[in-house]
Amino acid sequence: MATGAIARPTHHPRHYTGILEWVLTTDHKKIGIMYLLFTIFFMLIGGILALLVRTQLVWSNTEVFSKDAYNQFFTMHASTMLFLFVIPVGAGFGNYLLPLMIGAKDMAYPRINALSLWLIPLAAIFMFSSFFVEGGAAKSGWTEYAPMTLRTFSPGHGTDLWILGVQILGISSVGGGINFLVTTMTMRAPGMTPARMPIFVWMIVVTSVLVVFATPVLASVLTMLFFDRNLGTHFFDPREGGNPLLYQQLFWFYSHPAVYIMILPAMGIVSEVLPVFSRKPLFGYKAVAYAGAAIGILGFCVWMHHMFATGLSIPLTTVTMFTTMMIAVPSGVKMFNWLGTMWYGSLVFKTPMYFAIGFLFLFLIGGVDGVFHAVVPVDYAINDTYWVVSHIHYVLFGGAVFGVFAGIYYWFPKMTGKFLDETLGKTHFWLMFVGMNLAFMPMHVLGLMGMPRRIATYESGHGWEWWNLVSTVGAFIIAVSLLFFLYNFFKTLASAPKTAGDDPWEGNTLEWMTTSPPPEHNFDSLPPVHSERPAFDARAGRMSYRPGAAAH
Amino acid sequence: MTTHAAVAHGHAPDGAAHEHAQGMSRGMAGMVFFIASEIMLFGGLFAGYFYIVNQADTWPPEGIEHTPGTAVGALLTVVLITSGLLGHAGIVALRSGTYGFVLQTGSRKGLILGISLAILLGTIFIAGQAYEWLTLFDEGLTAKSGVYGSTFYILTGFHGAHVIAGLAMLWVVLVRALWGDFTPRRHLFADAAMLYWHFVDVVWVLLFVIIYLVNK
Ligand code: HEM
Ligand SMILES: [Cu+2]
Repeated sequence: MATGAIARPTHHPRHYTGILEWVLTTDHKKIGIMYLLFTIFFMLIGGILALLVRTQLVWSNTEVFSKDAYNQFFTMHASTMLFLFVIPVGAGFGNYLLPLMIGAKDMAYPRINALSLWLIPLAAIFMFSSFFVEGGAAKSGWTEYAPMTLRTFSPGHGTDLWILGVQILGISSVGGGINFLVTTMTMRAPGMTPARMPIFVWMIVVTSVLVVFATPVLASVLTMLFFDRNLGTHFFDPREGGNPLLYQQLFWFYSHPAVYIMILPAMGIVSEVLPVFSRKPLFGYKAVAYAGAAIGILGFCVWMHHMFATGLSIPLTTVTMFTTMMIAVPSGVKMFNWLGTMWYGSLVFKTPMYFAIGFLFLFLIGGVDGVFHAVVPVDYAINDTYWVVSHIHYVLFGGAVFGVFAGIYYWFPKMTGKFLDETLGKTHFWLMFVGMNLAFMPMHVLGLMGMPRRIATYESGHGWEWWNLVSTVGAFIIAVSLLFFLYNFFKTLASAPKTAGDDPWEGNTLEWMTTSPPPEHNFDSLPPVHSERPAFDARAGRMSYRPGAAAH
Repeated sequence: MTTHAAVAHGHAPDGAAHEHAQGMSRGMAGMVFFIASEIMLFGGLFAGYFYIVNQADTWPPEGIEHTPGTAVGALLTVVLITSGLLGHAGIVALRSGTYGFVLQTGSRKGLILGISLAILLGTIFIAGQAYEWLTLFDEGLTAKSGVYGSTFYILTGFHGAHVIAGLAMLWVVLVRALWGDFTPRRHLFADAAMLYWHFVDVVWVLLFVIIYLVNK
């Protein structure tokens, strides 16, 4: 290899210590870990806001907060969870893992990578500071639909700060997406052909394509909104020839693909965890990769299903309905492959496996109630009710969050050399699983009973009280489960011995072929890559490879 | 199958080996994806424009008396396209040695000349656009005066901002060329900057067609 390469002067990064070592780093592993820490912190903040929301809804006519405060809480809950947690957390895993998994030393543009990271807390400052400005934070839901968000209905600067925060996050994720794509294109180890890349890498690639092509459209529409609010333009003002539906069209052109930006990394994680803990290769590797790509492409064709209730024309409605239902097909293919992977496997029930199986179960429910939305007449009935809230949480909480925790428990030993405690981990899982179903299953019922989403309180007499009570109890159980996680996390970091070794789970992918935690440049030597499971090949004794054996 | 040597990997300079092994240069790949995202950004703005035009009864809407002049638009178009061609010729001159059609010297001189002319014309473009905006302001067409002004200023304004960004890149190319950077075989940044400049050109041509030509 390396023939014809132009030799360049070896670059010696300067070494800092202490906190500066982290703040100034361009090492993708440190950046990835910081992404994860930031985003999990924001998940906790979003969770606290969710508890406030649920507290208010616990019983009819409960007014712990004013309606105005409630509206800010649920808007910022959703915005925090989506923009500051779920979307960047995928990039966090991608940052830590993608170079390791393809056998590269770092990302293609390490400095842009660091920039993408630090834009996240900056954006968070913009978004959260809005609670303290006159008029308070954004309060029209995370979609921030015009005309509710025009000056007339949302005075004050909360919405402006929200827009700026989201725009900054957009720049961060586009930078990150380009970085992932170029890294995967140009820095794979010898032998790592596209058909041998881990599924997780495939899912990050598809996610990045979505990020690069969809996010700028959000930037365009938010810029128009910002100008309408601050420069007096009229894009969304019907009295002057503008049209609020334009906001929705462009917004959903981004936000529908964005739901796959949120879920594909979790699908990638689950696709890595299930085979390892089933002691079998992933069933239908190619089908999983193609299904991921199909989801990505179809994702751009169906945004108008969010607008059925605005009275689209019949042909548009019909086309959108069919393309939407087609997306269920690749998702179903994946589900089938995951189950096929476990079928007759010798399952190893460690905490990551629990979360991965939890993912399968909950994501299935979320997927099925999504199909209800695709069917237009049904959607007319359940649109804007708690059914939506339930669906969103089965997909994003049951799907993305369970996937994220599967990933954390799975790769924690690689990142630190230590195992998280199994008993605490399983307690975390069961509490979270039970709490999650208690919190969100009743919302299906509430939706069918007609409870609208985004209301600050409700009258008695609808029969909604008991279901809401159950839901709130569930929410607090989730909160307790997170306390177990945090305790486990800090206790392990502080006092657990480094017993994990290089390859604690007998993994398939290249990151298990280096030390835990990996050295600065990731690998001292790499096994040759002959299949999509190079670490398995190496362990199976097909070659005389020992991790870290060479070049020390 | 048994292989003895694990592939030595750790101490290659900075990944240059892979970069070449896999064909596409890292810098250019990044620029291509960046431009793709910029296309989508303009895509959103254009889509907004068409959406609004489509549902308007007349376009420009009634009550709009002053609209941008076709002659000015055409002039700006010529200026920008010429700038793109000259800049490109500069790169051709550098790269192929003898076939550059501005200067047949085949070296940095051609590049410096081409890029300088590109910068000059790009600056004239911006000045022309500023002049046009000011004239229209005087005549009473602003971003606030109805949705027609809103779309006109956001499209041309975003484009202008991108011209300025492109000019900044061209300046970097020029300064580096003057410092003695770039050889016939190594001119990645110049290529990438030029690609961006062409992108800005193409967007303008589309803008010219939809704003100045079609809806009159
Ligand atoms: C403790 C866990 C959670 C609880 C109790 C909870 C509760 C709620 C409730 C009650 C609402 C509805 C607010 C309203 O309509 O007035 C809501 C909305 C929302 N939540 Fe959560 N949530 C939790 C976690 C999450 C997570 C992890 C995510 C995403 C990763 C998320 C994303 C959203 C979104 C996007 C909405 C807006 C739905 C809409 O547009 O109507 N939530 N949440
Ligand atoms: Cu959708």
